[in-house]
This record gives sequence, C-alpha cells and structure tokens, in this order.
Amino acid sequence: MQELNNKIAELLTNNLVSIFISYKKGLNGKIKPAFFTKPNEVYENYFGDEAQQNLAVYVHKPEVKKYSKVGILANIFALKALLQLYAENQIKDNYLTIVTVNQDNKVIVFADFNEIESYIAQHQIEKNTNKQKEINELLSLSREKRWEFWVEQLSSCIKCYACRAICPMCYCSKCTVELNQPQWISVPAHSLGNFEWHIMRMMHLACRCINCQECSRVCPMNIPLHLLTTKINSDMEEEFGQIAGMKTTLDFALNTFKVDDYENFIR
Amino acid sequence: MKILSGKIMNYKTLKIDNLDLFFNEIKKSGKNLLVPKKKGKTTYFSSFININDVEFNYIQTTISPKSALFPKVEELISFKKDDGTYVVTEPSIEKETIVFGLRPCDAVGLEYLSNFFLNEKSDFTVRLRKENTTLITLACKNFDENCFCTSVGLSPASIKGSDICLTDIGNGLFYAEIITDKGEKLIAEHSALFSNAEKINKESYVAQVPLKFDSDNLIKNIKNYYNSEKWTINSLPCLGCGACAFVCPTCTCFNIEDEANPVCGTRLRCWDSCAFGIFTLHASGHNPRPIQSNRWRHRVLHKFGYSVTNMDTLSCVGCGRCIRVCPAGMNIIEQILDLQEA
Amino acid sequence: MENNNMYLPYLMKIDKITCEAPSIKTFKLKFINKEDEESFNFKAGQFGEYSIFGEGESTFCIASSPTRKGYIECTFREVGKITSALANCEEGNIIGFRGPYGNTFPIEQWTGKNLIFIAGGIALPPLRCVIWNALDLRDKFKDITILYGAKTADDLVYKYELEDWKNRNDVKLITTVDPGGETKDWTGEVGFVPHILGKYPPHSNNTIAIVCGPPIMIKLTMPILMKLGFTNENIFTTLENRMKCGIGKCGHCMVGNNYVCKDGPVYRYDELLQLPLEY
Ligand code: SF4
Ligand code: SF4
Ligand code: SF4
Ligand code: SF4
Ligand code: FES
Repeated sequence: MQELNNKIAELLTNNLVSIFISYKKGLNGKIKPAFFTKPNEVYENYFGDEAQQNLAVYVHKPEVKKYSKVGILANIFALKALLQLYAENQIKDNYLTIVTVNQDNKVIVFADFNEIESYIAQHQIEKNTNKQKEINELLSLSREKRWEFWVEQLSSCIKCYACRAICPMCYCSKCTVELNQPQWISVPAHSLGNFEWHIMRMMHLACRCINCQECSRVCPMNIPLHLLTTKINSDMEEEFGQIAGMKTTLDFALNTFKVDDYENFIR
Repeated sequence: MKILSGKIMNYKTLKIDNLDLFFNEIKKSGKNLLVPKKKGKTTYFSSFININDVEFNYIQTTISPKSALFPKVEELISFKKDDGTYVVTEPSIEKETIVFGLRPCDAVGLEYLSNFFLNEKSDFTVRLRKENTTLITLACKNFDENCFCTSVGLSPASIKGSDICLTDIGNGLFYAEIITDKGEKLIAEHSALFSNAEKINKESYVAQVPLKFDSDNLIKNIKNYYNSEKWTINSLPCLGCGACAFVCPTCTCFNIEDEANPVCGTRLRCWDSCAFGIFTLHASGHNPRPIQSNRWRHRVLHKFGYSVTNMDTLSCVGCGRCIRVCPAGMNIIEQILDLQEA
Repeated sequence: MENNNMYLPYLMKIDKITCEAPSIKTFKLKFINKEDEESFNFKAGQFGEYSIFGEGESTFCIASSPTRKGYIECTFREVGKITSALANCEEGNIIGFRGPYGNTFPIEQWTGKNLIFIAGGIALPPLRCVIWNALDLRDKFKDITILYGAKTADDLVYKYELEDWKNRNDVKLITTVDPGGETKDWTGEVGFVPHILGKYPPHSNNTIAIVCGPPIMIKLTMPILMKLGFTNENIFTTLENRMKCGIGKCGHCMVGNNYVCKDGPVYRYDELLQLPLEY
C-alpha cells in the first residue's frame, strides 16, 4: 500500500493529475470512494478486498470532469469498464491516468489503453462457479416457474435507480426512463413498470456490461440483477463471440453507430 | 421540539411465545399485519403469513415502514371516458393495518411524515391510512455505528409516535407500553394474551446509543452552512440515485404520473427524490440545482434546517438507513461533523 | 382541515382556443359543473394544475382576471408531453383543472399608486391577470404602464389585447422585439427589455413594478430599476419552479425551505433576495 500511496502522492505533487480517485475508510469503517486533491490527504488511501465499488463510474460525473486531469485507481472490473468506455468513445485522450495494483502487489501506471487491453487479456477473471450454479438452477426450472421467480423479484423494485447510478456503463445523460415523448417506460414502480425498466436496461447492456455486478451489490431490495447480466453476457459470448471490456475497438452485437452518421437524432 | 403523542395510558406484558397467537389472531380478524422479513441482505416490511418468516434479527430494517402510510405507488384518482367527458373516482379506503417491529425512531419518523402530509392542505390517502394504522414498536436491544437517534433527541426508549411499544425484558417476556387509544383498542381485542403490569424502568433493557453530534449546535448554526465549500468535496461520491430518500422514513417527495388506455386510467403518485437531476429540471432546460452537491446539500439542509423552520422539528430521526443503503458510502453523520468542525 | 381529496380535479370544457404565437395557445375554460363555477374563487397571481386524463398534469398560472367570472384562461407553450397533448385538444374537449394554488399579488395595497408591468416572452400571462384586474378597477390606480418584449413580433402573445391597450388612453403600452425580430410593418421598439426600460425611464415615485420574464431579463432589469430609485419593497415578481402537486407536498418546487407553490409564486423582491439561488 505504501508504494501505491507514494505513487498517488507523486502524481498529485507533479501535477500529473489534479484529482485522484481511490478508496478510503469512512467513519463507520465502510470503505468508500476517496477524491484526493492534495498529496497530504493520501495517507487516508485504502486498497484491499473491501474496496469493491467500481470507480470507473466517476469518470462520467460532471464535477469530476471539471478537473483537468484525473487519476483513478482501477481494480480489474474498473479496468474493463474503462476500456469499454474508451471503445465507446467516452474518454478523452490524455485525460485519465489509470493505476492498478496487480496480484503481486505491484503498482502499475498504464501508458495507454492498449496496455490495459493486454493487461486484461492476461488477467482473465475466473468464472464464478456459484453464480453459474444459480443460473443453471434457474434455467432448470419451467418457463412458468422462471416467470414467477422474476415477477416476485422485480415487483419488489422501488425504482431508486441505484443500479443504474452505480453502473459505469449506464452513462446516458438522458436515460430512456426519463424520456416521455413518447413515454417508453412507465414511471411508477409497479410490476409492469419494473419489468419494462429492467428489460430495457438489460437490452442496453447486452455486450456492454463488463460483469462487475455492482448493480446487484447496491440494490436495496436485493434483486439478483447479476443473474440477468451474466446470462446475457454468456449468450452474447456463445452467439456472437463477444465479451465486453476486452478491446480498445468497438464491436457491438446488438447495435451500431457511426461517428459520422448523417442522421442528427443520434447525436 | 413538539411532542405530539400523549402520555402512556397503560402497561402490560406479553409472552414472546404468544406472538404467534397474537399475529394469527390479528390475521384472522381480517386486518393487514405488516412484519419484518428478510431477503438476503435486505429486511423490509411485508404482510404476515407465517411466524417462521418473520425476521427478528435486525438492527434496523433496510426499507422503512413508511409505505404503510405512503406506498411506493398509489392511486390518487381513477377516470373513465364517458361520452366525451370523464367520470372521475377516488380510491377506496384501505383496510386496517397493523405494523409490527418498527423501531422507536421509525415511529417518530412516521409521525413526522403524517404531520407533514396532514398539515395545511391535508392529504386524503395518507390521512385515511394514518387513521387505519396501528404501530407496534419494538424497542432496540442493539445498535450499529450508523444509528444516531440520540443525536437527534430520541432514544431506543422513545415512545413518541408509537401506539404500542414492546420491550424485551428477558424471561421470554415483552413489556408493553400502551400509548394511544388505537393501541388500547388493539390490546382489548386480544386481551387474553396480555397480562397487567407495573411501570418499569426500561433503560437497562434497551441499547445505549452513543452521541455522534450536537444537534442543538447544528440547528443554531445551520444557516451559516449553506455556503460552505465542503458540500462539493463531500458529495463527490454521491451518484444521485434515489436510494437514500426511498429508504428514509421521513422523505415525503413524490411524482404524479398518469397511466391509461383509451377507455380508462389512473393518476398515480410515486416516490421521488431530490437527489435525481431531473427532480427540479424546468421545461426550458434550466435546472435550479444543476449539480449533485446542490442536491446533497438540499437533502441535508431539509432534514436539519428547513423542516425546523417549517415544522419546528428535525426531519431526520437518526435511523441510519440512508448511510447503510448508499451505494457510494455517503454518510450524513460525517457531513454534519465536517460542517461543525469548521 | 379539508376533508376532500386534494387531487380531484374540476372538469372543464375548452370553450375557446386562441393561437397566440408559434406553439403558444390560450384556452378559455368553463366549469362543467355549475356549483363548481359558483364556489370557485381566485386572486391575481394564482395558478393551477391543468390535466389531460391519461397524460398527466401541467402547471400554469391563471391568465384571466378574477374580475371576469364564469371562466378561466390559461396560456401555455408546447414544450413537453402534457403541453403537447393540450395543444392537440379541440374546442369542446374536456380537461381537468385543480386550483387555485399559491399566494397572490397584493393588489389591494396598491390603491392610489402607479403601476408598471415589465414582461418578457411567455411571461406576460401571469401579468395579464393582474393587468386586467387593475384595468377593471381602473379608478383605484394612477398611471398604468406596460412594457412587453419578445424575441420577434410573431412571438408576442395576446396581440389583439396589445392593440386594445395601445388604443386606450388610460394605459401606456410599450412593445419591443429583440434586434432582428421586427417585421416590415413593426411600429414598436427594437431592443431588449432592460434597454427599452432605460430609454423610457418610469418614475419610481409612488410606483409598483411588476416584473416577470426569463432569469436573464430579470437580472438585467433589476439594476436599472434600482438606479431609477425603485426599492426592493416596491418590486414584485413570480417564480416558475418545476411543480407537481401545487399544494406544498411533493417537494419539487422547494427553494430552500420555501415551497414556491404555496409560499409563492409571487415574491416581493426583498423576499426573493432572502432565498437561496435555487430557482
Ligand atoms: S437498485 Fe434495485 S430497487 Fe433500485 S432500481 Fe435497481 S433493481 Fe430497482
Ligand atoms: S447519497 Fe448515496 S443513496 Fe443518496 S443519492 Fe447519493 S449515492 Fe444515492
Ligand atoms: S435522513 Fe437518513 S438517518 Fe435520517 S431519518 Fe432519513 S434515512 Fe434515517
Ligand atoms: S430530503 Fe429531499 S427527497 Fe427527502 S423530503 Fe427533503 S426534498 Fe424530499
Ligand atoms: S409543487 Fe409540490 S411542493 Fe410545490
């Protein structure tokens, strides 16, 4: 950790970054995001197993974007998210300094996204067998039973949108749930509105979700959203051979766009 | 601060083993009984079915019991097309509800919530539900680092807002304080289960929650905090979701939405939160609270400043739910301490 | 304590639709139910929630004067889901209305004073209510001046009434359009409202200024009024925060501890300065 702290302090001291996003221990002992702007704050830095939150989500935040150069401590999921965001044209060149700590506790500062691409390729995340078991169990049920399962789960959603807020891939400045001409998704958190919301979100995340499972972690109602994302991810891999957060270039299975599209509505 | 509930009317005891009977009797009488239930890491209130799925092991439920008075979605009116015009109908009155297992801070929270909805222009559905709801509070034996009832003038022994307050006094017994007519009536309906008792000193049976901050000092200085530069840096983690407001027993904000087919429809009220960016967005695109730090400040100042001015009471009861639920580790206690430090 | 459901709307029939300007319409609304019509009362400055069943509610002021009984009028710009649905209505359609909500302009206290109304863009409707109210009680006030500006000549609302006010000798009307917004036959002023105000400086002596318009217009108008000797206590304006309930419950309109829907929408300028800048 000392090596990491030194690195962060060094980046701040040399003005290579104006803010560094990492973790620290909160008053209640919970690990939370930290935003260091001065080297003398870095002693609070924390990195360890409890540091769960995917910090990549903060690169979208307007208050963070105000800083000219941003440093970020990225675990493997944040790296995948950042790479996917880069592929989706969401990260300006030379804006981020991305730092990680590898399994040997070595601090790595990435020079560019190609380096991140190869780092990720070498550090495959093992498939979580428990999660796979949960999915297989669900798949073994009849269609009706599966329907019942999801009706029960999704009816309890309170539409707090914590899952969307924590998700590094949910960055639309106007989410579909906020569009009302036409009203695509029912606003109230009744069963129908909740189904519409989650089906829409899952479709938008197909092949973009980098599987950090933050949405499940933060859901106040304990809705197992990761079962949906994981299943969609594995379908995408099987059907189209695509996995999100692996490449600097973009290759969407379900949608496409061109930067120079002559239609205006897309911009 | 106003104490709006009367003094204790009566004392009883109830055998903990008899809870099952008590619950089943209530269920049989046709009332809706809401009890804490567990689903993974979440505890929430849901209709009683069986004593086995009632959860007793919780510091505080994840979701507050406010939906008993102010559900996440409810009908305000319904309408039907009728020969070029409309027939508009009001929602029917719901059946009697008993909430079991809320904490003393929640009872105060719900009292604030109903006072807010019923003052000046009284809210129809909240009033009907309030009249039909009896609160059986369970005094806390334990607390965690996010509880701060004592810092906002309450304690695990408070009876404010409760109709009946139960305290586990050991030997398999609940000590019951019957505080209101509603509570008295409920006990009378199930009198065989309750035995008469003398007033006891509860202090030794409830949790001793340490003080986190000085709320008198906070109330005194809150006007000076609006322009503090700390809001911005402290709110950087905040992601602008609705989690803190939706789990909070005293957050009352809502949205109104119509849903209809070509023949008929409803006008629904659903929870909303001042943390959402679109909460204040004008049709013109102008946003009076354009950034998250403005929204976070509004939430904290509403709890500790605005409601003191408007309703002569804090609108935070120290339940700690917003802290436990926040996906980004935002902590209202930290924010207050930080403001007070300056 | 009132016993009824606050969200129950009156049923109103659209009696007349006037197209004021591009995407701006005025509805004249009449109560379906005679008892509602008789019991209904409002004062200048108040607003209501207008609804299309199945689409939702939208907030606008009551633009007609309380001195004209039996109907209310509202003027709105088609900007969102509900205003678009309203714009698609035809005469004879039934819509919902609940109100009146909010506080009022203290017109009774203005007896014997000069009034100057300063409005920009779509902000004339809230002032039109007060203007007609004052004109219908004309003897009570001294000079009445109206300064109204819009982007282009086409964007001016209530064109027929502007004509009427122009021809009255007990009202002084100045209309202006932003540079480039004039038509060939435009006879009014050209220039932004604050600029024109400087060009025709009103007496601040014994005068009440009622100002309503986009934030930038207000911001530039205030220093000019101050220079002319107006005090904060003699300037009134109305706020238009996002609103849902109209009755101080939903929280959307809050500015600090103030609920614009019930503590406003009318603010005296000195009261406005007490509020945090969240409007
Ligand atoms: S976090 Fe959970 S409750 Fe909140 S919107 Fe997402 S699924 Fe629904
Ligand atoms: S404080 Fe936490 S729970 Fe509340 S809006 Fe911010 S991120 Fe969401
Ligand atoms: S603000 Fe937080 S601690 Fe206070 S009552 Fe609401 S949820 Fe509980
Ligand atoms: S804190 Fe925010 S969501 Fe809660 S009652 Fe106040 S304004 Fe509403
Ligand atoms: S509009 Fe709902 S509180 Fe003001």
